[in-house]
Amino acid sequence: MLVYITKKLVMLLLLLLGITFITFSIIKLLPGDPASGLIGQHADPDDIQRINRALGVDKPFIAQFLGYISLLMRGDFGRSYYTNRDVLTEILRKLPNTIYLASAAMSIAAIGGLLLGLTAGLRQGSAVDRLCTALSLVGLSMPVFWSGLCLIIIFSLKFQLLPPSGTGGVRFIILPAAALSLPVLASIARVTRQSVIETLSMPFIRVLKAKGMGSGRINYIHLLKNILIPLITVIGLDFASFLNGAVLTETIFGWDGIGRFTVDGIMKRDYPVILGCIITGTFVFVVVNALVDVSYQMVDPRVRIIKR
Amino acid sequence: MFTKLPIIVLSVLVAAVIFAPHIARYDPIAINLDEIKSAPSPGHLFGTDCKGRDVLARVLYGGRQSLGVSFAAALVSLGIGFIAGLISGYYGGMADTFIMAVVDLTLAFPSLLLAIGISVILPPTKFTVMAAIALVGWASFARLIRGQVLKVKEMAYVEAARSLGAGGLRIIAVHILPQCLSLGIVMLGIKFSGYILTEASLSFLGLGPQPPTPSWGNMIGENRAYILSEPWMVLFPGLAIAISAMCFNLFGDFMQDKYVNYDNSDNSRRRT
Repeated sequence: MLVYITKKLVMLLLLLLGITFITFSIIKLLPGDPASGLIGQHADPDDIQRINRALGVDKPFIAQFLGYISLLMRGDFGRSYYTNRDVLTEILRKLPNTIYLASAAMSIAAIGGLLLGLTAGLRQGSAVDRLCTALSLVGLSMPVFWSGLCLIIIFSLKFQLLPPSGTGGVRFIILPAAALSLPVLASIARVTRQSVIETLSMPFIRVLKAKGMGSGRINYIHLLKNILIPLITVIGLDFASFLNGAVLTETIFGWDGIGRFTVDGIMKRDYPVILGCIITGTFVFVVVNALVDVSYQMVDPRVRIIKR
Repeated sequence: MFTKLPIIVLSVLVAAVIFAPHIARYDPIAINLDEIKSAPSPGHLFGTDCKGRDVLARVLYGGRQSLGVSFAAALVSLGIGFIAGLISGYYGGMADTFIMAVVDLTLAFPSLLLAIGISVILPPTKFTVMAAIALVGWASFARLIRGQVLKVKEMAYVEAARSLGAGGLRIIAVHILPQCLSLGIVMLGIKFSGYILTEASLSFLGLGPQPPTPSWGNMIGENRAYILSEPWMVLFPGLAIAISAMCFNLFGDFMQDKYVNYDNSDNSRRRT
């Protein structure tokens, strides 16, 4: 177990290094240099050169990359070219908002998806099942930014129940969390339904029935335990889609998280911001995936890994 | 019903998009200041947008961008995935280690963030979005194909070909590739709706084709400000995305049920 975790950690570090390298290369390949973005393309070339030197953009690629890594090690993500604020501070200020949004969305998705999937799976082939399947299909197929806009039309415009945008308490979070949760809710529902159907066809369920156990007890104790594994996988992996979705949802709902921060950075070619956001986002994603991997072994004794 | 309906709807949609110049009664780009923001009516079935352009015409022409780009991206990522997977699986060793490291790296990124990263490097055209989607999407094909190659290359007939003196390239092209094709195509069917949604997201963020060229995503992005007063500008392109994604999802499910025992918990159908 210890060897496994150590190995996992080393892999994790290598992965993060690779990710940093790729994002850094991407950013360096961006068209236009930050100086002309900062003071305008028609500015004096000398000024542009001076600013580029001040920002360190004229050094060789590898030197810039190594410099960036050593800064990252010290927790320094650089300063925004525009606001001159510390990127890490900004990210740390905005990350809780995104996590807040993501956890609200995940609660909706997990509860809704589980209910929908259980309802469908326990009545396989019925009209209810077909309705649930159709609903989850719709959820999977709608682009997040469009369903978000539809929610705004319905709840902010028609019924004027909830504010269309802004960051804040419960009233503000309902719409963005609902929009963000839809595709995940749908995929959780599908996975739950599938694994309910698979588990119910297993011999141990037949044994339990044969020895006279009521279906309530079978469903809520033995069944639930067994569908937990695929659920954890989906929930863990969906943190990725939350990072993806947050970019769109936060832009639409004016939510002050790192998704919108990323988009703003892209629009202004603010390299430290883009790089910081992508690294933070990917870091969170990779670490969550590793945690999901480890958590299998706690939940499911069958997966305990023996091979070194 | 669930297998025939999507195919019918898709055929109609694709035909409408291909024959857009013959169906649309208006120019999708020409600005008509007399008919700004008019609601859906018999003259303009889907209404007009903030520059007086017919939304129906723009949805039809936009589909050429959206579906075309998704399709091209799918083919390119299938191609790259095949080449990488075949080399990696057949030759093994250093090549395998290197290619799989790149695959793992690519899959380690949240896909939309990486696609955004790639598409900001290039000037925003339809080619950009295609490249971004393809460069993110190839990795899962490569992994799938590699697995299949590892299985196939141990088979007796490949051994026989090798003992008859066939070279590596010939074995890959003639004996191994055909065994991987159907798997790759099924996977393509399963993943295609995700490509449509990613394309839409990127053009929504303004990283795709630039105005006035319509695409479903940028129509929504461009007219976002009007959702409260003139919702039809945003409603119809969104419906077009949702309906085509839904049909491809159903189609993908059908392929999956019919041809593969595919692990349901796999991340390959994750949405943006």
